[in-house]
Amino acid sequence: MKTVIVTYKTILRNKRLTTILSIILCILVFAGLSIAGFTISEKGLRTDLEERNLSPDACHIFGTDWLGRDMLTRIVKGLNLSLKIGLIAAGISTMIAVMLGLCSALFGGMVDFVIIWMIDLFMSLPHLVFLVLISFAAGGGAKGVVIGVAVTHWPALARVIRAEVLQLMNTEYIQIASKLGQSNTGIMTHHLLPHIVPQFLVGMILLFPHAILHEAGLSFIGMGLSPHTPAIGIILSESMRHLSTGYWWLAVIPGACLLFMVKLFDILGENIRDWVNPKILRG
Amino acid sequence: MLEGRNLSFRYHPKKDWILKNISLTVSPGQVIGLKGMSGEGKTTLGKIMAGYLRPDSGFIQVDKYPLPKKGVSPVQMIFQHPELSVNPKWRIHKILSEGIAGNQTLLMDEFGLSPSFLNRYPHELSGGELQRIVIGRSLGKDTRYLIADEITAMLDAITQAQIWHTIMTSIKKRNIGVLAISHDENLLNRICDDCLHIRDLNN
Ligand SMILES: Nc1ncnc2c1ncn2[C@@H]1O[C@H](COP(=O)(O)OP(=O)(O)OP(=O)(O)O)[C@@H](O)[C@H]1O
Ligand SMILES: [Mg+2]
Repeated sequence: MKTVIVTYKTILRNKRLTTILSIILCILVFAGLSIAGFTISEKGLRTDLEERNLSPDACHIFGTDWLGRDMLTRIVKGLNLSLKIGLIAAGISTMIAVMLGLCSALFGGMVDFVIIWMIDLFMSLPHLVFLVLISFAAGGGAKGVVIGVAVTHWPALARVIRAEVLQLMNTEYIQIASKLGQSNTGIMTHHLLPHIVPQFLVGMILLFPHAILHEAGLSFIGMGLSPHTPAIGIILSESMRHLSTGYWWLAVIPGACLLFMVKLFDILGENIRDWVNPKILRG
Repeated sequence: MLEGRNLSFRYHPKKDWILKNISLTVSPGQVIGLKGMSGEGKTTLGKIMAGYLRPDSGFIQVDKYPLPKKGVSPVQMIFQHPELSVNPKWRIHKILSEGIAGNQTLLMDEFGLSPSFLNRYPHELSGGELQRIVIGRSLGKDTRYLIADEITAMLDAITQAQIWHTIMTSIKKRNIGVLAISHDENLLNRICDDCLHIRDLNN
């Protein structure tokens, strides 16, 4: 017993270990969610008018909606869709950020000027308005959401990467590398890229919650995914009509699940940041 | 011969000249000392001689040719803080491989370091050990001249003596010329063929 308490204490004190544990925990939850999304039967999505508006019970633990569809199935499918769209949007956005950040720092001059100007422009405009406009212009639907989120979310990360690369280029060891005969591309692949990979990963994971929330938001106001898709935003906007009639589970449970997933990504991102930057922990 | 001719330099057009019309030469195998008060421009002159900074006027030549703009330079500079001169995320063997194509174990031997260090990270070596790695890295086959800027200033007297002893044998073997920058008159008197004061060079 005593040893158990002691190990528990050392785990708590060893921040690095708790960091790694929470990362593993988050990844397990996401893996579980994806597996559930693949294996859960489509039966729950069928309308069954005899089972309308059932409150949560043993058979339907998240209840059913006004068409008799199983809410658990809809939520699992919806979260998986969010996950997929979030991954694509955050991935594209991160790519844009890395490319522009690198170009800005490496080429300087006019290139730098134009990129900085674009960053400032995107950051000064109201986010949501821009998002709605772009996804509308891109044709709406899943494609519109992905493009809208990807195009509006790169500036902050691009700025971080530009600053990081500029600072690296001025370090003694990179200047020495060039005097030792390393080419610019060699310096970029061997010194710069490995250094910004952590930034890149953390930036991408922290973009996830944004992408997911914006997707849900756009779908909620009817600008995003089509009403037939099992998406969290659609579920939430449908439930609005039924809130006043006392069917609380239609809104509360999907809302809580969305919040839970977003928070989990946030925790994952912060923990990976701590993990790749152990100095912050020590100091 | 490493030759700096009529070098002038200032960091900003509105600021005072830091170097004014300085000329100096280092021959192969020769060790030239450079001393001076803090802030008189020794590091600046070293960086110009090694091609890290471009002079506002004057030029640098190695055996009558200008320093190459790209590729490996025949003039290598070693700085005061070895921990800034290496990528902190690389192991020693990778750090060395940037400057040394050949056998690293031989080089470790030459510098009195255990070959087991090759697998360590920079923060796992002492300052003196890491500075030896940095010096070793700069002794690639194309290196003809070294600019050593206060490279042992942060070390104790014994380590300082050991490192300079190794450098002296290594450069004699390779016929490399050295410009040694230091505050330490005793050190310079011991190692240098000729000792210059930057104030006497400035016109
Ligand atoms: N990057 C820089 N930008 C502007 N001024 C600089 C820069 N680096 C050095 N200086 C200035 O140039 C002068 C010469 O600096 P330098 O580092 O060459 O002196 P030093 O002789 O090496 O001094 P020390 O013995 O303290 O190392 C100093 O007055 C310093 O303030
Ligand atoms: Mg100096």
